[in-house]
Amino acid sequence: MNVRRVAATMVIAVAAVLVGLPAPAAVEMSTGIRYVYPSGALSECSDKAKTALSAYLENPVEKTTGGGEWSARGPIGVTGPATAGAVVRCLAVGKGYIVTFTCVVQIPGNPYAADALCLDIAHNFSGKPVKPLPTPSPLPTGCTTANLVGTWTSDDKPGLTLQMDANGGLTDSDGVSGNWGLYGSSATLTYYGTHTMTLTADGKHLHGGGYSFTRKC
Amino acid sequence: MSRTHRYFALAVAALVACVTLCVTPARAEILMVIGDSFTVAGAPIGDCNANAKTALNAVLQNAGDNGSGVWLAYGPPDGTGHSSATAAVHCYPIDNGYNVSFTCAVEVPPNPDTAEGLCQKLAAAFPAKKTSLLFTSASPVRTKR
Repeated sequence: MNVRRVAATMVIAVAAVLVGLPAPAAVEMSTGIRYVYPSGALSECSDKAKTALSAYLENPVEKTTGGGEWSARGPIGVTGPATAGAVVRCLAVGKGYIVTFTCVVQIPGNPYAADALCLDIAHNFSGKPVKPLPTPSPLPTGCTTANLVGTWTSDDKPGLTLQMDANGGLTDSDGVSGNWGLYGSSATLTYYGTHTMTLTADGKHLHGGGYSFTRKC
Repeated sequence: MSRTHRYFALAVAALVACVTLCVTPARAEILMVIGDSFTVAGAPIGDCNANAKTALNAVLQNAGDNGSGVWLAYGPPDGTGHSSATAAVHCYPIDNGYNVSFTCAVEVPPNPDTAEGLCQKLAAAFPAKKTSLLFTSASPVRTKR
């Protein structure tokens, strides 16, 4: 009897883990913007490409020095894995050059679409007016009930802290990663299994599922 | 609870912990790469468009263009309709030939391939005559009209 009970518990636990996983993200690419400049040097194109990429992404690099092919990743100011990237390619043609723009973003998880990113990079390149892109949500410092962003300290497991980010990710003090979700006051933590927890009305305490945390705020 | 049951419970707990750790997703990351770029002499731009479509459909699927030599395709969607790989092929007429370039991106995980690997497969699937290549992106040459 106990064996059956334990086996049933195992099945339920595994199912809960699998069902509780977040929906997978996808890649979205934007391509098609191409400018043709009848006159101008490739170096001029490269300079503008680097400037345009730097305005929206981080660390633009040229594939081969002097080759005119640039790429960068981002978004700017967001730590962790890249959720956006762009490539600007300059090709010398006659006395001028052509330049193409290709962008990619991860959805969800990025504050803007690939088309919006590419349009702004292209407009920055050409000097046309740009439409400001949505910026990533700043990390709130308070104990908001709208999300779980912040640093959480375990109430009963000494030394255990969870850093939860605005993209639904979490990392513990040992570097183990997981995910969080919040639906009203009900929270789901995918961290050594899936745990259903409750966020208190003051946004400061999270408990349930065998864990109890307090947020620094 | 008997000793046998305790051992079994321990084994089950270990298995659940293992499964949990194994399926906890790592944070996905976008990887994007500048693929090859080369010029094919003595061939019409229509060849580039046809080859781009062929290559994209060979490696990814449902290649489409914007009518001006820019081709785009995505990898097969997973069970939830999401794709973790994409690539673009740009064709542009130059002199009596054309220039073609490849740009690739993947989301890792879950995509098993790298962006570099994807672009290498695309370039290999692009059926251009290698003898007619003028130059590659590693040694750019300015063309004159």
